[in-house]
Amino acid sequence: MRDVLLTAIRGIGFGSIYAMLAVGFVVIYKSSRVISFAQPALMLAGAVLVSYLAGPIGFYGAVLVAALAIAALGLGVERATIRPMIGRPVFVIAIITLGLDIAIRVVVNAFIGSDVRNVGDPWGLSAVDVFGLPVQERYIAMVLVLVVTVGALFAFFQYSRYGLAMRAASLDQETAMVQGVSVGAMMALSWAIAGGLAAVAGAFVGAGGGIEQNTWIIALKALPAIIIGGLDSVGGAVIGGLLVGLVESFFATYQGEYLPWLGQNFSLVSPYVLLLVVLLVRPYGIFGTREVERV
Amino acid sequence: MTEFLDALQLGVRAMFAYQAVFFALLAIGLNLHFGYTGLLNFGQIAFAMLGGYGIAISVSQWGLPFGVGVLVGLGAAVVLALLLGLPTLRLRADYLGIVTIAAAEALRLLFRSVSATDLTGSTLGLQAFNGGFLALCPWTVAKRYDILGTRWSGAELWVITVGWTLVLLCSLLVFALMRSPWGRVLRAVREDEDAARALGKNVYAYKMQSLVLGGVFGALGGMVYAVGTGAVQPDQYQNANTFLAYGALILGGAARVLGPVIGAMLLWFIIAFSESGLTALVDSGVSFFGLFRLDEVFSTTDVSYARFVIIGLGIMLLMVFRPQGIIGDRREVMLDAR
Repeated sequence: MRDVLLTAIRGIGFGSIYAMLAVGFVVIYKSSRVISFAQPALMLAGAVLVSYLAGPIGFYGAVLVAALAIAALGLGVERATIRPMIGRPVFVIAIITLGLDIAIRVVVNAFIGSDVRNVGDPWGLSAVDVFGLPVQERYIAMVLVLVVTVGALFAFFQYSRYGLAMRAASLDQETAMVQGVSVGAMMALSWAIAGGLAAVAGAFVGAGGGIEQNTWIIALKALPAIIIGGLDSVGGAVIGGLLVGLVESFFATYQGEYLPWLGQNFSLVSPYVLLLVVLLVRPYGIFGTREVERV
Repeated sequence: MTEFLDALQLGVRAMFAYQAVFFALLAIGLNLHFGYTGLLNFGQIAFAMLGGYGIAISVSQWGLPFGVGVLVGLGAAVVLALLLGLPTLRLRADYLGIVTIAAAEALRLLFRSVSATDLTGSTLGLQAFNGGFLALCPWTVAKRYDILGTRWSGAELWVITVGWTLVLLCSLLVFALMRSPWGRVLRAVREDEDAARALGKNVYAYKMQSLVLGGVFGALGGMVYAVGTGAVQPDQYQNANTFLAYGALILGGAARVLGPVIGAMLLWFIIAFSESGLTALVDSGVSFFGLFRLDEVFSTTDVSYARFVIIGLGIMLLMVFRPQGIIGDRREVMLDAR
């Protein structure tokens, strides 16, 4: 029982990170119907920024500055490379985001170097006692930051004028335009939100273990998450992210014991196997709109 | 001036080296997927990895002959294509993109994980599997040959001879297929799936066939690369290569038989020429219009970074301003993959 609980807590901790990244993908998808493959690079850029700033201004300050800076980068990227492509085929934009990912990552890698960089988080691997369970502090922090950021985002979408305008623009661009919503500004805003979320996620990915050049791969685990939740559902992305974290964590703990024939390290690919299964059974995800099937 | 000529010569050599063959084959596969069928395959490198590892594992781990290794690699690529296509080809185009990019990274992680050491050699990879291939070479493998001022070893010449023959055969196959009824259906699928379906075509099956065949081209490319380097390592198969292969395809011109081949040769000319040219420029201490000396701002290690940023930006600009590439037909690439 103890092991099960600890495994679940680790799963929810990392799942919170995947959820934050997944929300970023979904927000961009809802505004422009494109999967931004530049998210991994933005996450890594945020993490690197935090690792450099944590010394002078402290971890929390660094996370805040990094989130704002990467949000600004997202704004700039959207304005310079995505906005001119509105109305062009979606695959053109997808390839452009892939190019952006590589260009940004090359620059960021030069700042990381070949070693592991510490992001300067205050937790490390230390644990606190919760009802007799040694729970790592970083997992608690990860869950808290998910609740705060996504909670704020939900409130923003639900109660603010801009949130309403974003929802309107994603529902029907032309009608929203007629009502005086600037659809372009809403797209830019979505890129900024996704960039900020990616930067925060990046900082927390590094908590406890630090970051290296290969850390960007973690952002790819948000892809199963968004498909499980449904590509156009923010709430679904959160649940999908947590589910991916749980599945990965439980496979890491128990698969060697109960399913040894799958080989070791199956937990590495378990999110992607889950992805294939979900696509076969329910391709529009748990909360997605049921219109993706074609043939 | 001599540095410039040297850089030019290195560039021309790179146009014909096995790396260019590798990217030509990857891009021929992507051309079938993306150019002719409208499939977004963002994990072409995974097929190449299975091709390379198919040979390496069969020969150095299982002790099978080289020819069997080739078959194993091709078989693995077919299985991967079926596995990726089965759940996604009924869905909108971006789902295949998501699944392929995720699969390529997952496979690479699996191959470089410690527990796979017995099979794949983990991060160190596998060596000594191309003896059976080099033994077929009609000339001396160890000797060096000078051709038009460039030096090649006999082994390199044998790899590129076989490699370019493969490129030629694959291009001929694509040419023939695209003139056949099968190819016309593929293009119809690309333009409008619903229309193709209304004409009684099994769109799902055609897309699957295209995915499998293009994946097999990618696996052949991976084999040429593995035999050319004489070793396979998981980190050779980074997903950035898929993007570069798209670059080659778009540079040359999508939906043209020779587009990917011309694109791959040009891409490697640009890569090799800009690397040696930029390095020479930085080393020679030239000043930037008299404002500052280049070697004060750039070090020679920055050149390889700068080169990739330039290529990434170049491909993005190409997508924006000339999506049909050099020899492409604009009408062929204005498709709207949904």
